[in-house]
Amino acid sequence: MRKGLFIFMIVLLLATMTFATFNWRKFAGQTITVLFVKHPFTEAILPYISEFTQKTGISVSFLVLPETEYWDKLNIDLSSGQGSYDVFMTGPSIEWQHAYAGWIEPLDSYVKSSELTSPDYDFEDFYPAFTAANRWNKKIGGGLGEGHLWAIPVMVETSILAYRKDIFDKYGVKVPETYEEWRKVAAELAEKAKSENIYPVIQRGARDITSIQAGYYTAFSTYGAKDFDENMNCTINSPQGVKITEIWVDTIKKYGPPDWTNVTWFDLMERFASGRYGMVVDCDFFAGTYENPKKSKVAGKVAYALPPKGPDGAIRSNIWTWALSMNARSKHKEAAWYFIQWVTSKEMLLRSALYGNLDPVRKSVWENPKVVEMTEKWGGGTWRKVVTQMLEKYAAWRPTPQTELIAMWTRWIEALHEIYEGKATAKEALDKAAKDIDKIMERAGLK
Amino acid sequence: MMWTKRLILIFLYSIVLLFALFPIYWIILMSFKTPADVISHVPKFFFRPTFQNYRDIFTSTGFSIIKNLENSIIICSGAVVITLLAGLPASFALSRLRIKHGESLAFTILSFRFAPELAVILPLYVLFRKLNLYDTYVGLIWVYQLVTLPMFVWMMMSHYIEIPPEVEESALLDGASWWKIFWKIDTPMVMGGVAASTILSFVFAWNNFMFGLILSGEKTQPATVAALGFMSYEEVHWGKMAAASVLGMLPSIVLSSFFLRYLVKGLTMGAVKD
Amino acid sequence: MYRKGKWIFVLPAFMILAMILYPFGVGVYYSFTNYRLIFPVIRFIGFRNYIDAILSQDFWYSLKITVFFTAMSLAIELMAGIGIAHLLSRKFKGIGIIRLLVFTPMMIPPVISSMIWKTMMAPDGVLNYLLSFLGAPKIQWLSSSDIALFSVALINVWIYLPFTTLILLSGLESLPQEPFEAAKVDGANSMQIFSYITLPLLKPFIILVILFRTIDSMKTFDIIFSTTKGGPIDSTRVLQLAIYEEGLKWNNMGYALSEIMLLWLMIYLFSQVAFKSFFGKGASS
Repeated sequence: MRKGLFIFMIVLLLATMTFATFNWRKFAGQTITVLFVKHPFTEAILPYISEFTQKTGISVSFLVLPETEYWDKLNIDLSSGQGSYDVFMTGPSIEWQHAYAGWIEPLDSYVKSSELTSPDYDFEDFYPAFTAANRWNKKIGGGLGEGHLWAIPVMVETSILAYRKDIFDKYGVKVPETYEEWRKVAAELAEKAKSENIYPVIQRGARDITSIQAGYYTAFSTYGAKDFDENMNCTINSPQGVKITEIWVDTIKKYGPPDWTNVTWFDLMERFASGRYGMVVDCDFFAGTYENPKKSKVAGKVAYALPPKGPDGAIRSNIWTWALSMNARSKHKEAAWYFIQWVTSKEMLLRSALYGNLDPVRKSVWENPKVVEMTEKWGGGTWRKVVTQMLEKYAAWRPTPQTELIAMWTRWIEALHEIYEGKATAKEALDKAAKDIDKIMERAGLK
Repeated sequence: MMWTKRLILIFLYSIVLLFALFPIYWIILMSFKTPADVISHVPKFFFRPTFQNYRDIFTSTGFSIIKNLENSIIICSGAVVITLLAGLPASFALSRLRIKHGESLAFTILSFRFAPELAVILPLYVLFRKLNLYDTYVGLIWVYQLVTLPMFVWMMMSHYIEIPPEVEESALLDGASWWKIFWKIDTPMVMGGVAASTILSFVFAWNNFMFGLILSGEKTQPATVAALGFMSYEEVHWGKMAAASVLGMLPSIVLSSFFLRYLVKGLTMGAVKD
Repeated sequence: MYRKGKWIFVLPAFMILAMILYPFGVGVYYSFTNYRLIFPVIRFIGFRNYIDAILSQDFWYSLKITVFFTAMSLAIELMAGIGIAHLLSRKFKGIGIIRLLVFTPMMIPPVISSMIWKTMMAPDGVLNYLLSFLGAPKIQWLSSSDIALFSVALINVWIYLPFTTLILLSGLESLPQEPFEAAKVDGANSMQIFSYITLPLLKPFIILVILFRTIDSMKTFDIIFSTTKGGPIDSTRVLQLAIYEEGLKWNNMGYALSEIMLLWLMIYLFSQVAFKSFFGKGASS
């Protein structure tokens, strides 16, 4: 009996030794500095950093900043060439600037190296759409999903339709499946559900690029419109672009809150949670707030559906994905990679998902029983079903790669405001904006 | 007649206080609200108060409001002390002593306040990194002089300039040195101005955002930058942000209630008659 | 002997401030280059950025609304400030606490108080809620391009009125008593005393307020950025916000710095005027 146990232990020890050949302590003694955005991902990770230090012997010092301030600080540090932050959070459009400027390190060789990457890392586990969003071959106007990998994603958000099932059911309103229906449903709600004292729709609209990125860009690309043609001429004023923009702004103006031009992403989320709105096409992970009775008055009353389809029946949701990049000027690149690798491992991404860092970018995390348990009841089961389809089929990063995205989108949202305020028709406003955007591209030498 | 005047006065004071205090009152209410009460679509004046926000800002991970307040207090007090030491003699000299090119000197000091922070922030960041001033109290106290010193010098100049020249002339005849006149005669006469300028310097330093954001790091991050940290990505923690702001008011209130006492007539006039 | 001594009074202040000259000089240099944050090759291009800025409509538009914003804020602050300072200079029991309370708006960082003002100014926010009791219609404080600039100016006034008031109050408190006593003996009424004695004596403080509030309002950023971000359309895109977008968001640092330098130059010229009147008074006394 005792002998048996002894042999068993020896076997176990040998087994561990064979499988655990990956040396996590190769860079022990080094210190890396990480810049984080204030985000559920960060909040989930911070308590475990001591585990990383124990495991690898690498010390981590870090700074956490809210998003706007984060970009300012990061931009100033990167452009000054100080290389103060070895690892930092980023996203596709920002990577384009950083890759173009040569500020970030391509990560392919690290992922592929068996020296530097643990065999259980399982890169194939990431949904392909979201690693593709972080790949680019540095050619303006194309090459998305090709060339180097510039960052490893840690979360993704897609745009879905959230609606007040209680109100829709009560008044026999159908869930819209196209954008034309969406406008009609809004009108119906305005008429039938008057006594509910709600605005039928809410969308983001503040003068900020995030107002373009989520719901609007999803509608825009779903409708078959594109931001640029192959010669980098701005095409937001194409017939499809004008048509969907007209539907979008007109619906919001007639059936949305009167201060749309001021609604930021968090206004949108808080207000929908406050129970005064009928439906919204925006971030899927806001469900975490909607379904939490402590923060929301609509918990249990919301259902979720795919975003409306385009004229060709397709859905092309835009995404945002937070990811981790490595500074090209880092003096501890391998240690930095160890950190990225550890943070984006199955185990850590699972922990962060359970903390509320949704949606997961790894299939294994999305399908993990604990994550299923956490999310399966949302929207009476509709949320999980919808988001699974989004992750596997409909969601991708849509904009054309270029470095002037922020300037361009700022001009774009101004055009939407002009239409909203009745200062111009959709066609006039977008024509003018397209002309200005062409100028922005010329000035940056991209055309 | 008397009571109508009194009534009008009470009315005026109420208007002024209402305008100044309502938003403050709203922030304080917010700091005791649950998230659901904050976003309520009919604004809530009556609700069951919660202390959770205050509890949270003291206990949340990776963040310590005490540490940030301490940083702010160190940086701002340091900045104000330096400003007092350097600014008082400068403003005295520029307004009382006939210094050659004094006017253009005074103007140059003022002009340091013209340029937006953005003009200097990039090179300043590089400089701070190279000189190891980044994320240090010394560095921040120095750079905050750009916020406090020109303003202080100018405010004090307008006080010194009010002093009648006769006061000094008699002291000079008695053989007093300029230092003595500065320290023993003129400065006691402008204590009200010193009080006001000190409060304003402290508050402006406290409120500064850009320098604190770019030039501080994990060790010295001031409370103003930290309070914005409650704008998280998944939600804005209004209650906690309000609670942090309410706590952040305390140092300024303590300082002001101390210095405002000097802002009374008679103190200065007493000095003249001696 | 005295002459030598005099310099020592000014020297420390100068040394502390002079250290900024290097970064400022670098900033000036960048404004003559094609510096883009994400483009590492920096080339000297002469006055190109300046010419581009002066020829661009955006620059003049932003300047126009900045000046409008500044003038509006300043006018209200100055008038209200003199009135409130007067109220606060009265002596009675409890004036100390009233003074303290009036100064509290300054004590919340503008970045944060503006955000909270934004929630108060939402269509269903507390301001419209309270006004509805007075029968007022809902005001689109920040979300109409016709009104937004006034609303942000109102926030600006709320935050900085304590500053104006405190300076003017400290001025009132330090005025010499003799002229007032003489006027009372001569039988002047309070209106006459105010316009013929108080105001002229207060002049250096009023100039001080104009000077500092103009400089700071021309550089306003926090308030706008926390509320409208320059919108709706570009109705609140003040110069400093435009510069921030150009430089840090759109990476055109060289161009943004040329706009900064133009702003600097304008404030410089304006201040010269205010400054002359300041010393004009000083010399005559």
